[in-house]
This record gives sequence, structure tokens and C-alpha cells, in this order.
Amino acid sequence: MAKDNELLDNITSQDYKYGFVTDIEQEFAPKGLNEDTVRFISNKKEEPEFMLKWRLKAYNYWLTLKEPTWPNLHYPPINYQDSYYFAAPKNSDNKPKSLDEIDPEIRKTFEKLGIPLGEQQRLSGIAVDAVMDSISVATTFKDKLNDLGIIFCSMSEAIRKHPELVEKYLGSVVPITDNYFAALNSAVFSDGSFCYIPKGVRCPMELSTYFRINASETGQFERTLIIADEGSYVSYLEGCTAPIRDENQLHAAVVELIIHKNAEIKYSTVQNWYPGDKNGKGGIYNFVTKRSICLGENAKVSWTQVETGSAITWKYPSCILKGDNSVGEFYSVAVTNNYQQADTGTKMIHLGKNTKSRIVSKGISTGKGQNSYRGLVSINKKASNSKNYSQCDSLLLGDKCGAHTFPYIEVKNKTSTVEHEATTSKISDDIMFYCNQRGISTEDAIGMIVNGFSREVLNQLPMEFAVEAQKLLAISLEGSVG
Amino acid sequence: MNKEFRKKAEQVFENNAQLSHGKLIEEQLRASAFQLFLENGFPNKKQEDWKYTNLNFLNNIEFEFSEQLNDSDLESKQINDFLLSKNNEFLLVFVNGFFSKKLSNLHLDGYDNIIIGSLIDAVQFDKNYHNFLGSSLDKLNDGFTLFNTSFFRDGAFVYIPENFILDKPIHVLHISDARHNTFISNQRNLILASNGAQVKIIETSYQIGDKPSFYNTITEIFADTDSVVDYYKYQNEEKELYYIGTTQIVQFANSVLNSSTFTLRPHFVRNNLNSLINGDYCESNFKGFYFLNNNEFADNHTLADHASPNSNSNEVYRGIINDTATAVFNGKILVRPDAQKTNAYQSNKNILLSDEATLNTKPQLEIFADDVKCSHGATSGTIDEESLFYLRSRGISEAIARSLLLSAFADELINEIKIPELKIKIKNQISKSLNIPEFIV
Repeated sequence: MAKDNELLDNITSQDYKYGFVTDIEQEFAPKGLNEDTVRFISNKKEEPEFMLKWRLKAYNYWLTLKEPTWPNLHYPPINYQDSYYFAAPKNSDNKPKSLDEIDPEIRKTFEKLGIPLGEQQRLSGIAVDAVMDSISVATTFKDKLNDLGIIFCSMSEAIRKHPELVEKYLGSVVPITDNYFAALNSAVFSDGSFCYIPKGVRCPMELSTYFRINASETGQFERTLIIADEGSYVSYLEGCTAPIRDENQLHAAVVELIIHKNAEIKYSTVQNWYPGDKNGKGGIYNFVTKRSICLGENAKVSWTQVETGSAITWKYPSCILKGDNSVGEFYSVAVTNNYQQADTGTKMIHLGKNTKSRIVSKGISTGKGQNSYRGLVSINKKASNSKNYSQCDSLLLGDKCGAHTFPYIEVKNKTSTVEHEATTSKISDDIMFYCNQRGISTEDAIGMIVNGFSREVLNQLPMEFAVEAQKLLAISLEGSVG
Repeated sequence: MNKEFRKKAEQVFENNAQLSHGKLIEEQLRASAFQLFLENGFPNKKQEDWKYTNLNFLNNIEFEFSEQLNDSDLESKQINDFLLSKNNEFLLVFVNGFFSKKLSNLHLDGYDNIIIGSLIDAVQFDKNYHNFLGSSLDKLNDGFTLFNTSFFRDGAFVYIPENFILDKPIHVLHISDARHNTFISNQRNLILASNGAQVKIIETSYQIGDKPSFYNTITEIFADTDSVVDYYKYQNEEKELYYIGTTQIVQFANSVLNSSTFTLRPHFVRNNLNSLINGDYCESNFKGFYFLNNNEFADNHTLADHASPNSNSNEVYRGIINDTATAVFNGKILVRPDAQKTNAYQSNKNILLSDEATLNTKPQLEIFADDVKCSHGATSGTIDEESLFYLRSRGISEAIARSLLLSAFADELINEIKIPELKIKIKNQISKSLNIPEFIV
């Protein structure tokens, strides 16, 4: 037992390896949130008039809303006036033309994080848009993508250079009135990634955004918009880290995916924001609205997420399956350790005929972590012959954690089939004994079992990410004994 | 709650407070429940537990309180169809929430120490019983519970002494008399099974007359160590009866609860079934079946609350939904921090027979202990084409093949009924609803 405790201690005291701070000159908007903050951000980004109007509308709507209390999450009230809503590396006004001109400090940061910014990393074959605090600092492989007609740039650049696309699609999947955090994001979002894949183009490389919160007392609000035109394909990766700080920082992002006829988007996330220390101090509050819409026939969208970070995760990547025969998938692994809380899941809204969806959610709780799966499968009257399969499994390591499942299923026609199953258990003594008996230490056995438990999800990740995700899981759970 | 109703409720509450007899619970408790009820009113769709339940009838229909027993023009033969058997059950009849001695059939000769009767009589016999009333409901502060606590005047009372095995089932029959008025009836039943006792309870509710009626009932069951309680609900009233029923069970060590809820073609039914597992090595079995046609509505909310270790709960609910009917299922398994070695299983399977039918199901797990095995599953679909083809290829007509498959779907639950008369009654009703030819049954 003493050994068990020691091992448990080990894991709960596991260090967060991305917790360093980069010392660069930063520029802030005045602290707090009011109409002037919104104007300041819009002005700073030299946005067209329609954007300012849109932001102010969102801000005014946000004022009328109350923070939601329905999630299975407990945290002290957030003071929205005690945070910076805009922070940017100082010399971002003249954006570097080539990667050599990037502030070496920033480059170092991303090198430390293992993000291939430099062109020498060409071999890795991933185009990266790196976002630090509120600002996109670098986008790689632009030219190559340009040749194919693919637009991959920061959101602010897209607003300046492709206002027609932005105006048409921004807020079309997640309207400003959608929810509290989406309204807040719409008012103050500072940057993010924008991606447009033209008709029939299959994007030859993985597109990737790397988000980094660096400055203290800032909230990060980014907005990602991906449009896959008819018959196109893109695989998109997203990663996040933040330094160790005592205060709770707010991260409220919005991601919108639009998939036209016969197109496909694969969206993968490895979320590793700073989760707070072992006493539950600090950590990122992660309130994210992610939604995709399959507009045309045979469109396909696939969300894969590995959630290991954040003190609080509130996130429901959703699929609106509007086009006939469209397909939505959701694969998730969520780990909660120490005092982390996660309330995450998905919504599958079946509107078109013959639409299919699949949900695989794996929750792992340890320490004092609380892990909730909350999902909705809604089959509309007109969505005949639709199919859904959901599976949500929870693994409990330690006797102070919790795992919860809240699946909502709404069916309104007879030809559709919905199946849902869920299990919750710990690693059984039998299995552990079996491994020990064959000379596998308890620690290695847990690693193996957790990896096996999440394999179905990890297999969905692009290779480079899968390796990182596997390591991340191992780190977050090293030595945990049930 | 509109102003008029509020006024009416206040008046009736005032009248009740003046009554010298039949004070079943402390006036203070009743008053505070009423106060809370006035503040919060009836639940609405914004409350998570009532999200899928349409309670518009509360606003659309003008209800009156039933303030006294009125069974003078009711005769035994009018309720003959509602009985399971003439002599093989203890029958407790309630009319609009009041005990009707005239219609009940207790013949308790030879059963010395057991008590089966009305709550008022029981409390007059031994004041201690009223300590149980409401003690299981601490956390159930929803509007209908408060409303019931404020206004119930009577209900069934059952006490089974230690190690007594009751051979015949107890049938608690409620009749809403809707011939002349649109009544609200509140009723509170209390069932005490002592150590090692075994008892079977059946609850049914019917309506006489064609006006709408609203029946709000709560049953509290205390199952002491080693006891076995079989609890059946049979709901088959097509008339405009709005039924909202809560059953709260408290289980002590080694006790077994078998609950079966059969809801066949009701007008409007909402069942809350909660079991608090308060001792080691308990077993809680929830079985349920619903068949809905036309515009019918059935809502089953269940909670298996594991507060003690080493217990099992097992839940199977199945339903067939036709026409424009709506079914709701919400099953929750709660495992509290110390309830290690819990095994909990839950399944909800549904067959939809029409494109206008609606199903909302939410199987929920909340687990705070680690050494547990919990699982749940929910499915929705229509009749399996391959099974249908299999039967038809053997010369069975499509209509019969369909009925066969549907009745097989229900049979698994029906076969577990331990009261033969009830089993036959339910089987016949299902055959009738599904148009199954007699030679198959």
C-alpha cells in the first residue's frame, strides 16, 4: 500500500514540462472589458467596418447573458474585468516577411515546444500557423499552399485580404447568439487560423495551428474558420500549451468548420494547456465552442481530441449533418488528474437522410479529477435511415476521482437506428495480477492498459500527433495505481 | 401557477389546517412545504428533470381539490374490471385520494400482526409511524413532491412484521372520480417491511367518468434488513388521467427490491422511481415496459442511488412507441464515494413504429468510487427486417410476424412477473394492443 501511495504521489506531482515563460516585449490592451476594448482590438487589427459592427453586436448581446451553470463543473466566479483581452508580441506591427525575421525569442519558444517553424523543418511536411497570446506570429509553407489555391493564414490577415469569405462564413455555424462564451469570443477574438480549400483540392500536407498563452493575466480568444469547398479534403491539427502561473487564465475559443458537398475535414486536437498544480492552484479555464456543418451531400467531418490539460474543460465539438449521406465522427480521450475537471462530449444533429455518426469517448480520471461525458444525439423527423453508434468508456484510477456520463438521445423517426453504450470501471485486480505475474511492473502495466483503452481514439490521429499524444498520456498517468 | 389556482390552494390549505383529525405530519412540515411550493410552483421545462415533460395541462385545465371522501354512489361492481382477482389479493381502494372502506376488500382474519389499511387508521393506532412519513424525501424538493406534502390527506399503509412472508399480494387501487368534477387527488402511501419480511405490492390507477383528472401520488417504501419487496405498477388508463407518481425506496442491508412498471396505453404518465441503497449487499431490480399509441405520453425517471458498498442494481426498460406518441426515459446510476464494489447495469431498448413517434432517452452515470463495474446501453430502432424476412419465408403473414416479434420483445419482462393474475392481465392487454391473434398467446 505504501508503494501504491508513493506511485500515486509521483503522478500527482508530475511536472508540466511546457510551463516556462518567454521573456519578450508585449503590448496589451487596457485591462478589463468594455466597448472601448472591442474597438481597440478591431482598430488594432485594421478591420473593415462590418467586423467592428459584428463585434459590438456580439458584445452587447454578451452583456445580456448569464454564465451557464448547467455543466458538472465547480469553479469560483470569473471576474471578466480582471483580465487583459489583447496581448501581442511587441513588434508584431510590422509582420515579418520571412521566418528569419521572427523574434529569436519567439522562435526559441516554439523550438522548445517542438513546433517546426523553421523552413529546415520542411521535411516534417506540416504547415504551421503559430499563435502566441493573441497574435499569429508565423505561418509556414504559405507559398506552396498558394500554388494550389489553398488559403491558409491568420484570421486577421483573412479579414483584410478575403473579407468576402469571412463575411459569408464567420458566425454561420456558431452565431454570436449561440452561447455565453461564443458571444464573448465573437466580441474580443484577436486572431486564429483561417483556411479555405478550393473545389476538388486535396490538401497535400497536414495544416496545423499551435496556440501558446505566454503573457500573464491575459485571456486568449482565438477563432478558427475552415471551409472545405466541394470535393476537397484537409486534415487539420491543433495544439496548445501555456506557462505555469498561479492565477486561472481564461481561454474561450470558437472553431467553425464548413464542409460542402463530397468534402471532408479531419480536425485533430491535442490540448495540453497548463492544468494547475497538484493543489488545484492555477491552470487554464478552457471554454471552447467547436462546431461543424456538413452542408452538402456526402460531406464528412471527423473530430479527434486528446484532452490532457486545462484546470477546466468545457467543450463539445459538434456536427450538424445537414446534407444527405453526410457523416460525422467524434473520437475523444480526456484525462483528468489532480483537481482537473472536464465536461466534454459532442452533439450529433441528424437533419439529412441516411446520415451517419459515430462517437467514441474515453475518459480517464485519477487524483481528484472529475470527468464528465455529455453528448446529444438528435435524429430529426426527416433524417430517415440515419444511424448513430456511441460508446463512452471511463477508467477510474484512484478512489477520489469521479466519472460521469450524461448522454441525451432524441429520436423522431422509425427508420433510424441509435445505439449507445457506456461502461465505467477501474483496472481490475485480475488484469493487474496477470501483468505482474508476467514480470510487467504495475507502472508499465497501467501505461499499457491505458494505451490499449485509448487506442481506438489515438489511431485516428495523424502519425506525428499520435506519437505526441501517446507520450502525453504516459506522462499524465505515469505510476498511477488504482 | 395562475393566480386563481394559487388562491384556491391557499384556501384549501387553510381549511385543512383547521381539521382536528387526520393530521398525518407535523403542521410545521406541511406549512414549510406549502411555502416552498408557493415560491417555486410546479416544475417547468427549464428544469433538467422536466425537460421532456409537457406540463401544459396544469395551465390549460382548471382543476379542483378533492376535499372529502365521496364514494356513496360507487359500487363494487363498477370496479370489478380493475381487480386482479376477487379473493386472492388484499384490496385497498382510494377514491380521489381518500380511503374507501366500502370498496376495499381486506379479509385479514388469520393475519395477526400485519397491518394493511389506511394511513389515518395506522397513525391513530401507533403515532410512531408518522415519523417515517416524508423521512425518505429530504432531497426531493421538486414541485410535485411539495404539492403532495402540502395536500395529501390519506394513503395506503402496510406494515409487515419480522420474518413474515405474506402470501397474497396487496393491491392499492386508486380511482379518480371524474364524473362530475375535474379533481386533483394527492395520495401518500407508506410501506414498511421489517427484517426478513416479504411482501408484494401492486399499484394501479383508473378513472371513472370522462372529465380530466390529475393524480399526484407518492409511495415511500422502507425495506429493512433481509427483506424482499416486490413492487408492481400497472398503468392502463386511456381516459384523460394525468398521472404523476413518485416512489422512494430506502433499502437496508441484504434487502431485495424488485420493481416492475408496466405502462400500457396511458394518457399521460410520469413515474419517478428512486432507490436509496443504504446497506451492504442489497439488490435493486428495476424492470419496465411501455407501449404507446396515438398521442400518449409516458415518462420514466429512475435513480439507483448507491450509498453503500457491495450492492447490485440492475435495470431493464423496454418500450414500443407508435403513432404520435412520446416516450421519455431517464435512468441514473449514482455511485457515492464510499460505495465500492458496486455493480450497476442499465439498459433501455426502444422500438419506434411510426415516423411521428418521439423518443427521448438519457441513461446517466455518476460515479464517485473507483472499484465499481457500471455499464449502460440504450438503443432505438424499428423491427429488424431480417427477422421479419425469416418468419415470412416460413409462411407467416407479415402482420402476424410483426406482432410475434413485438410480443417477443415484451415477453422477457412479462415472464418475470411473479403474480400469475397480473401476468395474464398484462399479457392479454399487450396482445390486444398489438393485435396478436389468440392462437399465438
